[in-house]
Amino acid sequence: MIRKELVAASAEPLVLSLLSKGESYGYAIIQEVKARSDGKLNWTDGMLYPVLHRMEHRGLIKSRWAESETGRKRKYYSLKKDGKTAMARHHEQWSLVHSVLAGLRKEQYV
Amino acid sequence: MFNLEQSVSEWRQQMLAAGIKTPVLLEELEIHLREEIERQMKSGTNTQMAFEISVRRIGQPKILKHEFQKIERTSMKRSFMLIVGWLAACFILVAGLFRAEWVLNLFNWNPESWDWSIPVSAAGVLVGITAVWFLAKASRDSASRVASLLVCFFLVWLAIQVLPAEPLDHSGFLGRSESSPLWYRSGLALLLCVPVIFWSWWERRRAVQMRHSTRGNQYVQT
Repeated sequence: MIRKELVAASAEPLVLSLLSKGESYGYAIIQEVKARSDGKLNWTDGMLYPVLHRMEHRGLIKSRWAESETGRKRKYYSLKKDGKTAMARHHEQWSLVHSVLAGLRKEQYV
Repeated sequence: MFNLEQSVSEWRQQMLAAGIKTPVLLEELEIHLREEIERQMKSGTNTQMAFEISVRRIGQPKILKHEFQKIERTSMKRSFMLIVGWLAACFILVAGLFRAEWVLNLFNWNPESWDWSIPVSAAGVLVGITAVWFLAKASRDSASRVASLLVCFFLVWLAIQVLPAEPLDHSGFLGRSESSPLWYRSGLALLLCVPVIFWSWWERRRAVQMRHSTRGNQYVQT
């Protein structure tokens, strides 16, 4: 299981990256993160909503209410212009951390 | 006999009691709860167990409330700071410019009439310009960006007034009867154009970042 500090730090970039594929709603976002991480990234479901609301307040994403095909009301979130910029910044920073870690690991094996 | 609707209603009451009172938020959480119950039941779990698992997954009402409170506080503080910041920056800028021109005749300045209040007033204008630039940078919403662009245009218009076409006359706003030294007028005009240069640079930087992020997405999708 991944440490909760890392889970918290990765929440925003993951949500931004998922929304860059198209609009989505809270439940689907959680399910996709679980599926993509084989259940290792375990979010407390309710904690996603404060993250989404915070990102909405910061102007990174926007939301709209719509009805699903089953007739259930859902709040769909989508990326805003500033969200795309924030996502690019996150990718840059996470890539940097990853490359430093990978480099150090490689050195250990040499 | 377990009653799902009644249990959901009781869960809603618990959320309300914990302080989650925003209807939109509560509705969003309830929809999530129902989707999870449905998924659990489809995988063969009985209704009561599905409800209990889903409630556990959503999390403790008090912890959720605490997280939402943090957002409300941050959002209110940020909005307040931005409004105060814009008001202060615009006041300093306008007051500085008007005092500079009408009281000290700054745009029509003559080196022989040196006065220490002139650099003080010029510093006020500089502080105003810097504040506008920082606020434009900090503002994430389009309304603030438009406001900052308008201030930039206003400053460019002033810059044009600082370097007037000859011959000089008394007509119009900031009309002058005698010319300040060219080095002085050019410097002042350049200073007033600085926010526009920064604004354009910043917007261009955002556009480049966005292009990169779009390319990244295409790569991920293929």
